[in-house]
Amino acid sequence: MVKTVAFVAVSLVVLIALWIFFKPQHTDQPAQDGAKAVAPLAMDVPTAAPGQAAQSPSVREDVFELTIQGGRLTSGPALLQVHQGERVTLNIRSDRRDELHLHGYDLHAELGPGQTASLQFAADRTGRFGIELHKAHTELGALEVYPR
Amino acid sequence: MEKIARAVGASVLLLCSGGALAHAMGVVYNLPIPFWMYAFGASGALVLSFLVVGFFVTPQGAARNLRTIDIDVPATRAPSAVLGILRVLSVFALLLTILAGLVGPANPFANFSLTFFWIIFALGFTYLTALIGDLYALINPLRVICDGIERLNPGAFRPRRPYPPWLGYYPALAFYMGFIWLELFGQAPPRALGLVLLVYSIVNIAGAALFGRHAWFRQAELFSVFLRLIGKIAPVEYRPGQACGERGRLRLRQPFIGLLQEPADHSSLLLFVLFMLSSTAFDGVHETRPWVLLFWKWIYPQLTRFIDQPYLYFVDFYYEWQWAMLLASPFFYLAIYLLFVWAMKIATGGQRSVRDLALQFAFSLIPIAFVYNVTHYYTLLVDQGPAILTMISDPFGAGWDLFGTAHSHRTPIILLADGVWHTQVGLILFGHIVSVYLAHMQALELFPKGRQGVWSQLPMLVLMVLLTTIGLRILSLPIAAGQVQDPLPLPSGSAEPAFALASVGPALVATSRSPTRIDHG
Repeated sequence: MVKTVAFVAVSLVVLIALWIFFKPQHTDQPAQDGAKAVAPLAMDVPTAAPGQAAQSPSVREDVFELTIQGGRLTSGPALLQVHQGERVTLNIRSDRRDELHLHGYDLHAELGPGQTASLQFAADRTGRFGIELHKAHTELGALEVYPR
Repeated sequence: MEKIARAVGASVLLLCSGGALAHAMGVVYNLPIPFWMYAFGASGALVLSFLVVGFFVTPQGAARNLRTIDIDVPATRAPSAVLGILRVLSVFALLLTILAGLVGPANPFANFSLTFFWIIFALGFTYLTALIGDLYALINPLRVICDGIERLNPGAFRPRRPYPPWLGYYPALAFYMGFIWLELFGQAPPRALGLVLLVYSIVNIAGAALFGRHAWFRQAELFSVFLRLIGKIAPVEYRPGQACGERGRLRLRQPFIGLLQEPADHSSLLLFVLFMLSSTAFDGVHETRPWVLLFWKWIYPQLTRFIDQPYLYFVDFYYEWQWAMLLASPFFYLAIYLLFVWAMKIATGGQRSVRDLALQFAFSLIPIAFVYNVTHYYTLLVDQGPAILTMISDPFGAGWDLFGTAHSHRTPIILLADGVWHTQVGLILFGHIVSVYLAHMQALELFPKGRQGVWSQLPMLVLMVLLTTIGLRILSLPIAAGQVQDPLPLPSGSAEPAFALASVGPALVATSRSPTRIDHG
């Protein structure tokens, strides 16, 4: 019994020490650290959000332009990576009538030829959310919202 | 050359239709864990493993924890009634699931059968079994049906043939592979699930009629085998009375100790345990970017040299490759496992054969397999599980409202990524320590002579650190994004091929920048 308690105590100390050692100092960009280690080109996270207007450090605007032709994404990133709390705007152009569906947030946008549909929302839920073309039943990509 | 370049570029685009949609039921919203958490987890596992060995390497420790408390349960009315009710409910649930699958709504997210089978039963009931023991042995609906038929027609299930010893648990393993295949690649409408369950029930009842209920349900029926293994984790064991009216017994014990009670008794059971581990690992890895690129960047270009077929042919090939990898995964893990068992044999002077040792230590892997399953799927249970409350009011999609909940649309409960990450890493570390501890206890029992016990544990320790590290690594890999599609035809006059965009990675822009900027991840 004493041994078990001692083991648990020492384990906790070890784990806390390792945690302090490994946790990055700045906590605002875990996505990049993770992505960087796995695939160097994924460092392009900032470029996946072109046209950012940094209004203030706490509320960032991310604007993504997507173009869909023939049911496929022909322009714009498939993987959108943002941080929690940022305001996200998706401007989508499509040459066919369809419906864009963002899972998790459960948002829909009606798409049609000659018009630009726009989805605006605050990325308040963290996680990975598929972006789907409803009628074509194909997945275009995903939105990844990382915690701060 | 241009064709190759175009093929390689197109390959980058290509993916399994939907990372998020690829499960038969339910959408997983988990983010990959940050790299530093993976590093923390792996090093934590390593250090804690040595701590376990350091603190608990004494032969005395081994015997002490195998204490159990037996409680006699008299075969009086109350327990029998409860059991009887549960059995009836169990059969009812099975029939309802089959029926709802066959005639219910075609929308997978609205059909009772999919949510009930994949989420409530396969996940929820499994985790419940880990807490309260192998209840399934008592309430298995197929078994109840067989018992019912037997009562009406005695001798219906007498063993017409003895169960061949070589067959072992392979039927259960085969069913397991089919089960996982259906989960990952099925994409089937609810009707298909209803049909699968119907056929499964019939096949198992037939098997029980051929080989006898006891032998069949002990070794060949998937969920009986699976839940019996999971039940070993629980602090409770149910030992029903052998004869009618005889007292049943409840055995209380420390959690996880049940895994040490007996070794695996057949190599197919070892494979079964390894498949528990490998199938979850495969599920975790098969939609990650590195894995997908493994096919499309390395294998596909080689294939196009020998096989002259249109692009979509290789899409089919890709799926078949994934299936083959799933089926091969337990053998891959088997090879690694046997390597370390062999090392253990060397370290202990060769007293026992590799096969013997492999079977003795098989169950010590179960905690790692189990926590890995939980970390991977528990968010699905939390997100989609509550939807069953809505569906139960209208299981056939006929507009009923039996319990008044049919119209309470719930938004899925999406857990914060932070919390999910911490839980995942914590669970994996916990499972890892338990496995190391169990292996240690097992080694002490087999090799009680002091020093040998310590040396014999080093290979198992390294193996488990390796498995845990692989598991954590898989959790940290980025998930591929995009869809299966043809490359776009060359625009007239363009020298460079233009690719449809669903990229395996951020910001691959087809038109304005170089389309061959392929992710080298």
